[in-house]
Amino acid sequence: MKHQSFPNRSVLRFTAFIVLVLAAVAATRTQAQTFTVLHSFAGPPSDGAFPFGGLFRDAAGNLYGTTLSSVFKLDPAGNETVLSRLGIGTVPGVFGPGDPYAALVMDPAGNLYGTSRDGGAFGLGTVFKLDTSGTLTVLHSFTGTDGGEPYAGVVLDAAGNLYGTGSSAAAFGVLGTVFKVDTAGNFTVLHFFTGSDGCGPSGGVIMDAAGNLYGTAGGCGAFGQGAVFKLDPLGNATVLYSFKGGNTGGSDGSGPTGGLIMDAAGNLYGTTVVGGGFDTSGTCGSQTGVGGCGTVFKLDPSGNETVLYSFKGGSDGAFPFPLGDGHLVRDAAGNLYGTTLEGSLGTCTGRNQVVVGCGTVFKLDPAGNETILYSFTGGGDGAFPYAGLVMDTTGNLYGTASSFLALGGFGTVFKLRSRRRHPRSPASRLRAQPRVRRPSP
Amino acid sequence: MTVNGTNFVSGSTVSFNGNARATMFVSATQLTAAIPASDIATAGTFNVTVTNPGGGASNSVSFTVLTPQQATQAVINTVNALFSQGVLNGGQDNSLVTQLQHAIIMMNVGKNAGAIGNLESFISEVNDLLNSGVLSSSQAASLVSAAESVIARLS
Repeated sequence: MKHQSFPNRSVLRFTAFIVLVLAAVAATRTQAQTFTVLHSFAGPPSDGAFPFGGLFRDAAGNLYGTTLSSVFKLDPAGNETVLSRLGIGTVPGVFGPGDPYAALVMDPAGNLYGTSRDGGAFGLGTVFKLDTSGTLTVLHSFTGTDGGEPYAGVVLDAAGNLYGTGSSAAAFGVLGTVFKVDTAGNFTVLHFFTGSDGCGPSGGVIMDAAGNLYGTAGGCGAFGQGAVFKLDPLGNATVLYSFKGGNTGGSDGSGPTGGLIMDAAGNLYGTTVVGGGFDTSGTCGSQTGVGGCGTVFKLDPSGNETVLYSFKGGSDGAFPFPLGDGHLVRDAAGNLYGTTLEGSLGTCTGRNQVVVGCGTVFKLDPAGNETILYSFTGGGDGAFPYAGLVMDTTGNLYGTASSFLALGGFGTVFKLRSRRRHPRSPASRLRAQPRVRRPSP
Repeated sequence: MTVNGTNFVSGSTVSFNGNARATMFVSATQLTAAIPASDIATAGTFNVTVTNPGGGASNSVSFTVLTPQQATQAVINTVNALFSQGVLNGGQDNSLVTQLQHAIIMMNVGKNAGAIGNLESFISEVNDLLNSGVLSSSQAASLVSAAESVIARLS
């Protein structure tokens, strides 16, 4: 009788341990991204400082963005050019008029368009154009009666018209506006918010093929927690959803400060900066009275809202797109990508954040599983990403991280390289097989 | 409100946004006027003038009332200036600015209670820095006063 040998239990346990470790490593690797700082801002007077807005990426791979004191271009080799200087103050971090908080858009001729949150003829912000020769033109100075202090940038339609949102101008009794600037530079308010339909829109707008505009209003609405609105080409506004959130029992989110994206089926995806109701005490870290650390939500064409994820303010992040400029990015597989202002895997500790951590880049898969792709440390990588991401055709993500003076930096432009694996040919798979020597008898 | 100028006389009257306010004559170069809270409840730019008895109105001077967000941003600028001057170290600056930045975010979405919580935390941290000798009395008082003014606007 032949004796069969079986591994003993300790060997089995060890084998199981190895398998688990390998599985864990494999799982980590599939989510791992390579983080690269493409540019570290040096601050005034030579460079910009504190990018609060996101990026625009052209077909050649150049990145364009704003800091609180500049409009910049970053070529694919990482060379930065300051295209325009805006309101540079004499004290670092104390900037003058003309501070942009938002990303730019580019027309087919290469002209850039953006907004500044202050400055202009009335100190309430502008819509500006920066042409290819570097000449900056103020297309409109907000007066207050037409809104003002825009946090988000503008969108461009096929005819070259610009659309955006002006935040509230309390001194003028204005609760916020949706505006249009036509190709002749004429400014029109398309909608004045009344409160019941929201107020303080900060996330900008998106446009569908029919010319409808969609956006968010961070405050007011039917329940005082913000709203999602639609504005048709005739100027008729519809509230698609009013958030109930806060710490009043609703868990649907509160304060939709960021922008929206839309999929092919007409579903809208967005974020709320607080709410979500994961914690019945209504806190997020040391932040009281907010009902949670924010959400990622989906709004279907029938107006049904689904919370895809509620941030907990731990390693999973907190406060997505707090100031307005920024929206989710969705890949072909339906994964959503975004940033949170704070929270992370325990780095950036000891700085008394409202929530521990210097912010994250996150991924949310269609099943609602969240993965942190990167946690900012507050070192050379920057900290506190206020804005959203852009994705190239190979899945690489690009964004900006701000900083505080105290962290010793002025912010960064970063890239997260996709680890998307390209399928190998059968031949290459064969070549990749390790050679196995058969024992000779 | 203290108004500095020239040729003031007993009986000079300060007008705020076109409305005469109770005025006390201090000297030929200084008046004080009682400005009710309702005059500065709304953000905006208002004209201030002085009228002497039997005389015409003076030139107009602008008085700007900031929104709570703008006022909080001004406090951030002050804190950052203290960092730039070497009064605050990195961690202290970051901690203070974080609370103020969050207060602005909360105000933007109408969560004034949350914003007040941030401002109260800010005041508490300023007092800690005063007690530990990092901030002088005047520096701390200025920051606390500015934060309390914002809280009063939000309450």
